[in-house]
Amino acid sequence: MISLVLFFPLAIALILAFLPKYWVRPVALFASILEFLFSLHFVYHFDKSTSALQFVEQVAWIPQFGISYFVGIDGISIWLVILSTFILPIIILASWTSIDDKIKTFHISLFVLLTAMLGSFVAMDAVLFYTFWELSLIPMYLIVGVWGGPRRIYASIKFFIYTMFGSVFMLLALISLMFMAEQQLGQMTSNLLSLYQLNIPYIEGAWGNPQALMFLAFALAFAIKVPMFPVHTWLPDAHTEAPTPGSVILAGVMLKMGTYGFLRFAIPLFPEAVNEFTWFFMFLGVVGIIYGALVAMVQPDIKKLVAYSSVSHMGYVVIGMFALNAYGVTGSIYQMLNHGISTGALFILVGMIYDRTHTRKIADYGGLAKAMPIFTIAFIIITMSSIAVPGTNGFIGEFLILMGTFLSDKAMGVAAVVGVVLGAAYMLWMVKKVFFGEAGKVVKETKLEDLNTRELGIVTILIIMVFWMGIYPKFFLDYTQVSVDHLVENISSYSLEVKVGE
Amino acid sequence: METIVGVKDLVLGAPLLVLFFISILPLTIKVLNNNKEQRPYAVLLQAWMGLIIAGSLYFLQSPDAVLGAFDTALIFDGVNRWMSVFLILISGFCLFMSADNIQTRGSQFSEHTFLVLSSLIGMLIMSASSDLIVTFIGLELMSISLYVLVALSKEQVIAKEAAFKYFILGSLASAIMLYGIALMYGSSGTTYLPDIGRIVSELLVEDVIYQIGSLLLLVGLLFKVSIFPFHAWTPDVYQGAPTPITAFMSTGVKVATFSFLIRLFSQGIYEGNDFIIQLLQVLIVLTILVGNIGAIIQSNLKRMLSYSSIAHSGYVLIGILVLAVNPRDGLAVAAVMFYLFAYAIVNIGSFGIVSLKEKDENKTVFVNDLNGMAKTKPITALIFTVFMLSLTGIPPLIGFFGKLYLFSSALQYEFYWVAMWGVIGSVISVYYYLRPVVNMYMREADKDIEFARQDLNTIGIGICFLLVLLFGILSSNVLNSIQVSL
Amino acid sequence: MEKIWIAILLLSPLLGAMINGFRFRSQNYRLAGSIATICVGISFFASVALFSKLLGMPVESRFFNVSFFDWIQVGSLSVPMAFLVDPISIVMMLIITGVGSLIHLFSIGYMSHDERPAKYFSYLNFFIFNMLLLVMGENLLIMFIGWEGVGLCSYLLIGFWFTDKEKAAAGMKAFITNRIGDAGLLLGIFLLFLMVGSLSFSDINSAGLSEDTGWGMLTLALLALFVGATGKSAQIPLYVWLPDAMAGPTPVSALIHAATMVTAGIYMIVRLNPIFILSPNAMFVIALVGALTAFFAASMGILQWDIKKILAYSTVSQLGYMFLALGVGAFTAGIFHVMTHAFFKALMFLGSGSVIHAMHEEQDIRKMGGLKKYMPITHWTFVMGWLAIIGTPFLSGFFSKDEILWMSVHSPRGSWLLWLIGFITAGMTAFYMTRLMTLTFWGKSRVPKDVHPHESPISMTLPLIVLAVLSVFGGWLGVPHGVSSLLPGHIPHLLEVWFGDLIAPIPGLGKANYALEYSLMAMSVLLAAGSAFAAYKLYTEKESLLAAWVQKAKGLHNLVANKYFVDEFYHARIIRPCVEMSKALWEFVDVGFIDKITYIVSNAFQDLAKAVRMTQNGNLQRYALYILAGLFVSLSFVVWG
Repeated sequence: MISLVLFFPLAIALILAFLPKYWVRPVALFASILEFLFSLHFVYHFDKSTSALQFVEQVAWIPQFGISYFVGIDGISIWLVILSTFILPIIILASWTSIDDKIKTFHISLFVLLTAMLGSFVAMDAVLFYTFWELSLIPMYLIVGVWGGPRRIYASIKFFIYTMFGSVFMLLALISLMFMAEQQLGQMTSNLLSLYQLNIPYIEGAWGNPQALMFLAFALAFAIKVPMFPVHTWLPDAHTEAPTPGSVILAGVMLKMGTYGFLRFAIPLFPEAVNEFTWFFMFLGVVGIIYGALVAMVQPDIKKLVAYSSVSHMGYVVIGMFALNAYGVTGSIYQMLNHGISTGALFILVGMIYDRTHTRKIADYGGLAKAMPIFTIAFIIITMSSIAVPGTNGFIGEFLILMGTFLSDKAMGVAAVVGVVLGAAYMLWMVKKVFFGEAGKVVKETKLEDLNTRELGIVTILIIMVFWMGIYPKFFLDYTQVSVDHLVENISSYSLEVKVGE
Repeated sequence: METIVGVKDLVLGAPLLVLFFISILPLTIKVLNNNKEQRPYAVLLQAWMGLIIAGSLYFLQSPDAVLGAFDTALIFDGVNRWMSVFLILISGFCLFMSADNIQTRGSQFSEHTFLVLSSLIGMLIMSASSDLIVTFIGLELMSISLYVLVALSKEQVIAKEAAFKYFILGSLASAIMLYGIALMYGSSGTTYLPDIGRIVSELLVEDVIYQIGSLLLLVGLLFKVSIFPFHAWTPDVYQGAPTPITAFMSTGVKVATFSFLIRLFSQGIYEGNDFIIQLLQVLIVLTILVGNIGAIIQSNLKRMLSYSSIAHSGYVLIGILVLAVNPRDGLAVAAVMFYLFAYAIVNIGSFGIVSLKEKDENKTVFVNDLNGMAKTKPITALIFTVFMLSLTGIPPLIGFFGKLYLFSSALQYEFYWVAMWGVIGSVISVYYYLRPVVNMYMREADKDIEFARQDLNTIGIGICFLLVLLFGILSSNVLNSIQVSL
Repeated sequence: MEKIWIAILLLSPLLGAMINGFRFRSQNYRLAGSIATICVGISFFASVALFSKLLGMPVESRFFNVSFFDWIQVGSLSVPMAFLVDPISIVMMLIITGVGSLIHLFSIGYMSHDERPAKYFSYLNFFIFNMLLLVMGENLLIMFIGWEGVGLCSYLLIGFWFTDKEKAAAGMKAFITNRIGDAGLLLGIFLLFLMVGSLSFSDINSAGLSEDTGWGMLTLALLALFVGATGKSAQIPLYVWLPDAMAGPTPVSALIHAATMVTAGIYMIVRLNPIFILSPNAMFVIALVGALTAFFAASMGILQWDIKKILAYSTVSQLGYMFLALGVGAFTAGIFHVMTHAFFKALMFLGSGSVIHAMHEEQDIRKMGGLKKYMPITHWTFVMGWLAIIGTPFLSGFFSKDEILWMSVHSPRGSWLLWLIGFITAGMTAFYMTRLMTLTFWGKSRVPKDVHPHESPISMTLPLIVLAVLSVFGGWLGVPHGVSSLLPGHIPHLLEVWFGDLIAPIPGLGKANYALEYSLMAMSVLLAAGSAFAAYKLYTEKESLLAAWVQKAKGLHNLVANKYFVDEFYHARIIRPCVEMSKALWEFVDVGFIDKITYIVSNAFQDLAKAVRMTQNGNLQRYALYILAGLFVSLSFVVWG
């Protein structure tokens, strides 16, 4: 079943290549909805009581090196799969009018990107994961580069090289893991379940400490993708230059590949190194939160502000994960979903405004609430979700993360709570500047009509998700509960079984 | 002890002989109807007939047999069989390309074909030989026909200059190599590789004469595959030569030379020779860096591809380095052959596209000539992007698996630094490999791009494209069949 | 059965908010207003029904603990969406829904010529829903939902007329200051969870935590909770948002910034009083902050000219009193003052609303005066409120305020210093309230020509009358023991009886020395009367004397008039450095440092590339030289290496 969901988009991409221009969009939309319905199969048949891998499919791919096409879903990855298939129809709907040239190539790269993302979430084989991880670079590069803003070429190259730089070191670590498997398990394999069995030597303090080096190699690749503080500068450029659908899918799902990578690879594979570096990564996370929030406060451009807010939000996810307790990890998984929904929605809304006014300078705006009341209501609800007001999905995620962080390290907890205040500050400052006050240059000059039905449809779906995940999170958390407890309890010797039989 | 040419030798040598006669055929026909050039496709037909026969002859040999011909001067084992078939394929594609390319079509096409085939014969000899002198003969035959081929192009100045440079430097390298062979013969008493291999470990390790000899031999070979200090000729020659010939040189020469290097190292000529291992590591890292860095600011597409070919030779040398440490490592040999296979396909494809782009004579293709190609020629743009990405080593294309196998064999023998720099090299390569993609997709075309009608060439490019995609996923089957033949 | 009542009680304001929300464009303020008022009315009747049910139940099991569904279930934290209706929360619910419905009724008239009435009523209903969530939550997390929910609603309502920049800024300021408080509250919640392992009030209160005389974990947790309370109930560090919150419509100020939202902090401390008792240091800090807030707010109230600003500072000051009561352990007195304050402060805010409505949005009392004859009902109800707040005997203000003053001395946790600050503040309160009365209602009329004030319609004056009655007779609910022993027949302290053992007794509380209590009471009544008279005199005849005093105490006058420059201080010391730092961070760290590195690296590679190109100058001899040089170097290694 996973292979169907995984390769259906590729088939669609192929079909789209031969369709006449005006057929491309409807077929793409219909196919993406179909894909979403297929993926609901996992939710429906998911066995919540076990932490084992489900819907497993395994086929030998390169036997000489023990690489296999090995895919499976467990509590940690199920909602990320659903998030990706859920976001795609919304993106296609949102870009109905905003993307007008080369729409065929656009939709093909969207579907290839979906396969790449789904692949990286379900791949349980290290090399397979790496393949999908790198594959996702190309379509994103094209989306940002071809349909982007003025400095798109610089931004897309920067995005490509940043991510590539991180991931090649991950490749080296991955290969040495495979050789370690050959020494310890008899034959070379990149199957994640057997890699978990390895006890990688951890020489305290030695410069060539293998486990620490490998952990850092993996962590570097994921940190760049998350993005974490020092290596985040590609995100604002990529976001401001990317077209609306590009930003939505980049912020909505692709950042989660980094954090998911931490949860699936870095943390379980290298327990001792994780213990030693937890404070460092939590520190970077907290710095990311505060730094992201502070810099977001002075951004002149709405999209850059939202981009830096993503840096801040993803900082929360990181400290949640490295709290290494049930609350922190569950919170970080939930926050990945929330961030996908709320920041995705924010970018869609900014895109809607940009389509009407073609400027993203905050200074040009003002008094938008009078001109577009429904848009303002939607924007404020989404802002509330992104600054974690209770009743919305953001609150559940952030509360659990902050609790987890506080329980594991008080100082970090207190510093992270400061982020909550800063978060409110820059978002509301922006809302005040853009929506309230007298009518700004833009509102005076252009005739702004409110949301049309298509846009309203998208926004309503996202708002329903915001409130559903905020008021009744138990439905979502039940799926991840057993897997997270399994991860947290035996973090030092993590192992995963395969659920046998349907 | 005279050696008479037996029937077995003739049978095994049949592919070479067939090729030799076929290569003369177009010339004789031309002479017979008083020097009037046949139509290129006729010549092509004859050439392809010869290639097919030669290729099939190779297939007749049973896959795992190790047959020695001419008193085992030429050994036809698994490696050689694969390499020879592969060389024949390469020259086939290059002939396709040269049939359509402006610079090589025209009056002297039969001479052109003759030279390509003779160079192919030289390559086959080289990859099959296990005797130093026979290798030298093969090498010289290959090189000299290439010197002339480079000069044969219609284009006036650059080609002649490139040919001259290639000739002078090539002969310098051959001289060095010959001197090395002489010294090795002096110290070991034989030029037959297996014999040398046997007596290397006890006798020759401390023998300075042997050391110098083997080093000189290595230098000669490394020049041919443009490794760092000896790479300087490559950009000028590759740019000057007509595109089909550049494709032929950048792939055929490398495949032949590396297959001989595999033979050389796996016979244990350099086993346990720590200096060579250190030297190779240094050279690999420098070659990769120089190749990649050199290509960053290249605006001429062919020159960029030539720098990239230098870098890729550096990657392949990693496999040879592993062989120096453990001559019997089958995986490393398979990795080298796979990487060469991947590299050759992509290179022929990309040069094919460059030659598509070269409509008129002296028009060199610049990277920003490709602006906006995605709009006018979407399929060619897609194919060229796939080639570039495969060269960068992006999964799931074939280039990635080539690098994966090479780096794993490097890491297996703890060559961490080499793997590190190799990886950094490929990150640097992202910048210049993606520049054409940027131009094609993200920049508007100032004038429309139209291609000359070159259907043979397009067939070649199409096949390469399919191979790159197909064998990306199915790389294990290719690896398997290579390994089984070792 | 009560599950349905609670469901109705909660969902009807939400329903009202939704209905009005979806019809937010409609101009029909009567329809929108009546829907909203009816919904809050339903909640009021439901809470009265629950109240009567509670009355009938035996004392020890006098609560309903109803759970609807499991909200969060992670690790050992399980938070059900559960509601607790017990004597404390029923009192708060009655206040919220009772005063709330009166204010809704009043707003119908007040919002008659506003262009978005439906949106206003939808926000107001949503506020009531959140406030009920806050007081009925069975655990700290549900309370926190209500807590931030009311913060959100106050943000929306303060910035209701968003076209005006200051009003929008005031809304944002309120939300962010509340958020700072909420951050503290969050830390408190985490600390409590660390100690107790559960978030529900009953578990926390009955967890049997040990007394913490020093500055241990418990005290830190309680202080963190108190930071949350200061944010929400506008105490010293975080009170700055309340005066600016007057930018919202007046009924909003009445409901949110007088009666209900600002009392959330007090409710939380009363709810958790068993654990607050355990830490004397925390209590002391609360008492001190309360007293200081009362004093400073009262002083600021004296020199304000905007009628709503005076009432706002008076609210901050009265809240200071409530926290003083909680600090010294008089939890019942605290809740009692919440109730009485809700009555007379809501009355006065609505009164000022009707004045502003009559004076066509004029809020500056210097342009008012002599409104007595134009607006009789508003005037007399306002007088009732005025008498109650300055503490005239036997009115509600007297009972609750003097109980606090008495307990600040009598309780072992209290001290004479606290009483003295409270005592002086009582005098100041009388002074500024009388000043307000004289300048608006009594003195000579300074109303500009074109404005001719008129009495507000019945829908606005009816709530005033009801509230006036409550302000006068509300006090009898909690007659202090000292006073009741004076009067014939024994009138029990109803609230004390009603709360029973929910309020932890203050350890070491001695017998009440009635003589001392009476003398203190007499002193405070005299002080109040004296300062009221002085204020009346100063602001009617002796204007010149007032101007002379102002001349003499120039510096002090200027300081207090500008609200001790607290706002400017915050802006200069916290907000601007923060913005400057983020600009610097963005300039130097993001663009200047990290991006700079990428530029440096890419330029380095460009230069290297140029260097490589230099070696390729096409010169044949040079290539040959490279080959020979390479050869020579390696050979030398072989021979000598």
